[in-house]
Amino acid sequence: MEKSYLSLFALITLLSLAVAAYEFYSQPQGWSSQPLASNQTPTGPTFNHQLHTQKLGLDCRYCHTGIQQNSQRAGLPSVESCMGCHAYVGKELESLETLRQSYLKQQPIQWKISNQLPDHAHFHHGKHVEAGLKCQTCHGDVQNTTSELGRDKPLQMQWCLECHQDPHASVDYSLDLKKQDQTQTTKMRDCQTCHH
Amino acid sequence: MSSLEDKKTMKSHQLQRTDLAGENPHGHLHRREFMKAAGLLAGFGQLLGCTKEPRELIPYLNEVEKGTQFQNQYYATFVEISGQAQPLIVKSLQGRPLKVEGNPRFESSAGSTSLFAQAELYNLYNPKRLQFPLNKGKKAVLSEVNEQLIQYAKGWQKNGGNQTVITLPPLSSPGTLKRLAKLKEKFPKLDFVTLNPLARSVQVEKKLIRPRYNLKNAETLITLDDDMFLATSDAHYNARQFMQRRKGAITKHDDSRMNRLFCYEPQLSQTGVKADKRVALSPSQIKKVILKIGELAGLKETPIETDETIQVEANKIYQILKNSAPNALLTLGEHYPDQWKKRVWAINQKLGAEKATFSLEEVNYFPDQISLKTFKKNLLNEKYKTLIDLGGNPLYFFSQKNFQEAFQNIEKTLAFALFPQETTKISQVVCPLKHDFETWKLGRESLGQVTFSQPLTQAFFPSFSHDEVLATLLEGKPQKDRDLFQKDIQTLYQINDSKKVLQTGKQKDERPKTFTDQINVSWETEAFENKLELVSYPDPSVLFGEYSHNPWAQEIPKPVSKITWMNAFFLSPELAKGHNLKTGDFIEVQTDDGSAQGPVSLMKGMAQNTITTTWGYGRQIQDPDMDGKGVNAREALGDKSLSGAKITKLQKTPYQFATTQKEFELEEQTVLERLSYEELKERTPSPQKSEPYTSEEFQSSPQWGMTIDLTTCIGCNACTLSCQQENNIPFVGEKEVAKGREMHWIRVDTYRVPVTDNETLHFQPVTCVHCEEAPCETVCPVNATVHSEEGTNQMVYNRCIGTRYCSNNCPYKVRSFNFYAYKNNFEKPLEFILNPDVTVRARGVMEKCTYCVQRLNAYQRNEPDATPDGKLQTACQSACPTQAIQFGDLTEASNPVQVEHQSERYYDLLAELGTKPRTGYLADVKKTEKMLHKSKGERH
Repeated sequence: MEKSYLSLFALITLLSLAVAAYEFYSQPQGWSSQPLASNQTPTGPTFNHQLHTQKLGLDCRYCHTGIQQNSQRAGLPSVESCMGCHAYVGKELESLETLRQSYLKQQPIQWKISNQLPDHAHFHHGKHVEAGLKCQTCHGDVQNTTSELGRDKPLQMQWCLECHQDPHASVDYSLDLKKQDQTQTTKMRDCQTCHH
Repeated sequence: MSSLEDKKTMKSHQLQRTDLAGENPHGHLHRREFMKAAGLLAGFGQLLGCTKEPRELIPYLNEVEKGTQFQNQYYATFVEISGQAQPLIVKSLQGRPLKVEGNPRFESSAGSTSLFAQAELYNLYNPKRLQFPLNKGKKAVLSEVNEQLIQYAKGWQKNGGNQTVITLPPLSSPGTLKRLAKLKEKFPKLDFVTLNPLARSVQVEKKLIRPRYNLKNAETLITLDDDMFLATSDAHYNARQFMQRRKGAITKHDDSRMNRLFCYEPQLSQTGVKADKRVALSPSQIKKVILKIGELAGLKETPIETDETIQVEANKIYQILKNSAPNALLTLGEHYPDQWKKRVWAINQKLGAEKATFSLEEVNYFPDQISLKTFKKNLLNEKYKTLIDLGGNPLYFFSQKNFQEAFQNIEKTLAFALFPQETTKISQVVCPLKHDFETWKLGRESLGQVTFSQPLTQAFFPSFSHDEVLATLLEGKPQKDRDLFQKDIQTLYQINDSKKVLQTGKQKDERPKTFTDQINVSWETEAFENKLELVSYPDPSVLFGEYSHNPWAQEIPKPVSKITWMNAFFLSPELAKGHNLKTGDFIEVQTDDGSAQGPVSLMKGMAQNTITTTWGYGRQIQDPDMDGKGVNAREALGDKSLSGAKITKLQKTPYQFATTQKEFELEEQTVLERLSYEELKERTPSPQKSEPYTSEEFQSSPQWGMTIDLTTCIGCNACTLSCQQENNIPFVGEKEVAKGREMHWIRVDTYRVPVTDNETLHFQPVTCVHCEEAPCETVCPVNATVHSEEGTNQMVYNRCIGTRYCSNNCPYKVRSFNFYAYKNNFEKPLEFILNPDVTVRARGVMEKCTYCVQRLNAYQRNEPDATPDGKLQTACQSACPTQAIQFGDLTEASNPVQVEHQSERYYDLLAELGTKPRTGYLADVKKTEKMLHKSKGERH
């Protein structure tokens, strides 16, 4: 009796471990998995960053207003603020149908998340921009993407730490952190700076 | 599951908290079988656990005001509890109210909050709320309720509201009171009755009068069965004044400010714990003491015959009062009948307390209502054909059988309520009420100030506010609370632009009219029967039943008994012995008005011949876990609070109370330091003090630290709940609490310390003390708990693998473990309550106090929305009504926390372990017996 239970138990555990491992590594959205390959971009409504930033010359902060307010969140623009232009511009474009429908039906657009952090990691957009980091450092070549925006960097803790442990070596800063208060760089290594 | 052994070998110097009991959580399984089952479960769990839901980012549809989109907003608002508004500042993010703080613009709050104000946030999101109107048990829409109201109003046009009664909860809003008066004027035959469970106020001639204490001036405070510090009415204001005076005396060694507190009470109360001297007396003994003092003061003409104890105590009280008059105050509990309150007021007036400590004030109220007595008579005579309940819940208020039957005879019942309750159960039409955070409204706080508030969020469910219901009845057409609010502030306060009052919550300082007449009261009484007595008090966690639906409140351990999720009959071990009772045994208590059943709990320090209990249990609220549970004192007492009683033991399986503290007696002094006021003067900084932040690791700035002042702590649990709200701490339910698995990050211990032929009592809040030499850190196999350079002990949830070694090695027992996936408890719409800045912990993860690290981070990042007023405060600190908790940077010389770290009262908890804690304690200072009786001239 004892034995049969035990072997059953072991078998199920092994099996489930195997399945779990498979699921874990096959999930592109998983927070500790590899960067998204080009064929793994989430499907959903898309936005042409290249057109808006390169051709029209809009600054990232024009739409992602949270950054300017020293806020944790960069934020997405409201549908109404998109319509601020698109009520006049591109009225005939089919690609803007989702936006127009959203505005008319008063149903928010559901964007898919491609850069997602786990719940136990808190990233502060405002602070990173304040330190002189460029959006591209983490988000990649956003200004040259025309449709789906994938994940450019792995967003794994190891990758975060490359910079947090030695900010000078890895990233081009517009501010010299050495001149800044020493505690700032000390604080960067504290677990609870991000995990709280 | 090795904790039972751990408990047995637990060293004597370890604090008792969790006997992480229960070898297995399923009771009937044996350990081996359990391990197998757990293995299977774990396997399946893994199968399910790794699936990641794809997530969406959903932006706003319409542009919102700049700044409100991503930043915390702080709104002035209030909640009305037992007819008193408690002014608040509520943090709101993207339309979700997230954290309740006090409104410092009001003296009654001074920035602090009560347990109940904190619990209100849960009530807003509570999934148990009534979510739609009901018509004869079927889901209905609001317009049907409106129609019904309009029909009533039409009918009353003809008959003036005959045979109709409107039952009200205690209400303070001047707008609502005006509307009630208009309604009565329009339909003169309508009956109104306020179901006020407890009132400090008494009707004197045509006015409603209440006492106002000024404890700033009170050198001597004597309470007679008055739990002044229990969070009702203006308790926290009083506690703050008393403690500020005491703290001032202690820190400055200013003898003239050192006050003294005597408590005479049947049951050990929160105030009793803080008393310098406490004497157990039964209610009838207290009444006799009052009569005797009246006689000594020359108010009562005929002498009273009493036994010697009463004579002695009354003489003592009178002498003390007389010696320190006018800076003395005598108070009596709110639950005594009116003439007794008046007698005590008369004594205060006679002693000249009105010069310093005591005054009487007029209370704004709606005078044209019938008394409870008339209502009961009418009800039994079947006078009423229609009952409209605006949230007073008469079916619980009158739980006795004869009234229950009488309610069944009412033809039409319309009930408004926030939650399903007794009255909604029998009503044909039921309509949800708006929560205080969903309405435009006026209110009056306990010091008489009017406060204004706008909704923090749109109503979650189709619902009405009190004002909307009354206005619909009055005007015969539906009304909106916003318009009513605008109208009210215009007509009552001549405010045209509501912006300013809404920003601050306040218009101008105003005080209610004082009542200066001498109180005339007859001192003749009926003879006292020598009987067992039953007394009921407001419950420290559910009040009168308002928070029965609230698991946050239910799981708060009651300050003295430490029982959770339940109440009981409390009696002394001697009385229990006489009736052959043990804790958990069920009894039936019979009075002249009815009888109630429930389990008993033995408590030391009770008066002889007295049984006490609390309101708010034994309910019928459509919650299988709570229905019928506990003592429904209303069944035995009705609308009274005191009565003679008889008890019979019932043959039932004893009840297992879920308590959070098992041992109350304390012998080791390193846990809790107490000093007498004389000892304080001789004391140099405690030998039990380490030198923190001296080591090399901690040279940077800031270095965080905290102090908890045991002298001023009143054990109210506001910190515990504020912490729970801020840090997404789950509740676990009664069964898990019984196993010692409660998750609170702060626990308030109550200790009894034996001294020569008496005992002294103390509260001690304990939370993670952030040791510099932390025992938890050295035993974690995965480095999940580490130290920051700012001196905080960090818990890294994503590293934790749940070995629980840290908890075992923690001498303070302040770590709690997620035995289950409690995050699943946050069902809709409760998930909105979660603080987005704090990780929701998964199953199998250890957690503990973080010094509110998310607040520290936001503050250090200079986020403009980090705090409402720019001051850095932890959640416990900001909630504390007596400012017993200080927090800040120890490297700042002028920081209060640094000053307190240098105080001679400072000591390290369990200093002999050398853990170098960052949270220090300030010793509890009381006056000793010897000093208490010295009169003014011969003071030290």
